Amino acid sequence: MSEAVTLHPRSAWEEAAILVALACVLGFGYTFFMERGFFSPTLSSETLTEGIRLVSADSARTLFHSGAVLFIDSRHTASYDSGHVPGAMSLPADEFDGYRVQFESMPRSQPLVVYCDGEECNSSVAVAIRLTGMGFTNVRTFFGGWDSWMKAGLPIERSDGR
Amino acid sequence: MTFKIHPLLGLLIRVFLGGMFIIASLDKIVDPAAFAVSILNYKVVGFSLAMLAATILPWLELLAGLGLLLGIVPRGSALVIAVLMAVFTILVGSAVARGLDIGCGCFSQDPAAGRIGLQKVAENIGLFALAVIALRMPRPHSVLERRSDESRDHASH
Repeated sequence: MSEAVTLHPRSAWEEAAILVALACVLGFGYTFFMERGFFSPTLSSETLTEGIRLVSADSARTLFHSGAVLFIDSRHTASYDSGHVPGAMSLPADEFDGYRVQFESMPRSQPLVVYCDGEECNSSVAVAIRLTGMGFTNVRTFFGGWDSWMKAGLPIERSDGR
Repeated sequence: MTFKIHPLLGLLIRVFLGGMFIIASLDKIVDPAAFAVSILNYKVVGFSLAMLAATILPWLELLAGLGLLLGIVPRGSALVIAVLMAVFTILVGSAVARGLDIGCGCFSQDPAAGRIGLQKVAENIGLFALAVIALRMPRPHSVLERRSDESRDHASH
């Protein structure tokens, strides 16, 4: 009886190939119909690529001195308060929804540079992508972050009154 | 070469691995962009590849998990899981070696959850070993076959 429902026995590789093909169909089908991932109307691949465009410490310094760029600090507020890039706005990654209202009225062409602690943290990329999702068209990520800013001896600002 | 292990142990391995992959796929399916960010954090691939992986991988995890759990395509599922675990182990290992302090992206896409470390590498190696055992087990009866066996048994009583 059991032989009756066992169709042609396939090799593991053939079965795996079928699973991969099915996963491609389901993955692209689902994201297409749900408008997610590649098919998200607000997160096009071009803007997202821009969103995670990396900035070196030298470029960050140049952009800072140009005065045209707004730095976004994606660390916790306590870290922000104890020292940040002068003029930077605090936008903690895990409180994004609470803070995003401050950015609603901002021109979407405003150049933004997002940073967190340094190369070991990941909140800057997450915030950069979410800002891009809000429609900002010139978002960059400063991967070196606060560590490399400090190492370069660049100016800092505190907001904890010390 | 096939491993001769107790059928109950084989079933346990299939249920454990399959169930784990099903659970791991759900968060990623719901939010592929967040999963893409988790992949990007490993700083190994660029945006397009990360997004492609985030589109396909969660479904591959779900299908392989179901295939192994239900015994429908058990060897193909075990092969997929073994290959994925090998890739994940290398990725996590390289990230730990590079000193990256990032979320695993394994189950939850919350950056604060499941930070990677040597423990995660060890877990992944264990799961890889289980997948290889599952791949080398004799082909189990699928759920469909078991049902038909049961109906035959009932019919014979």
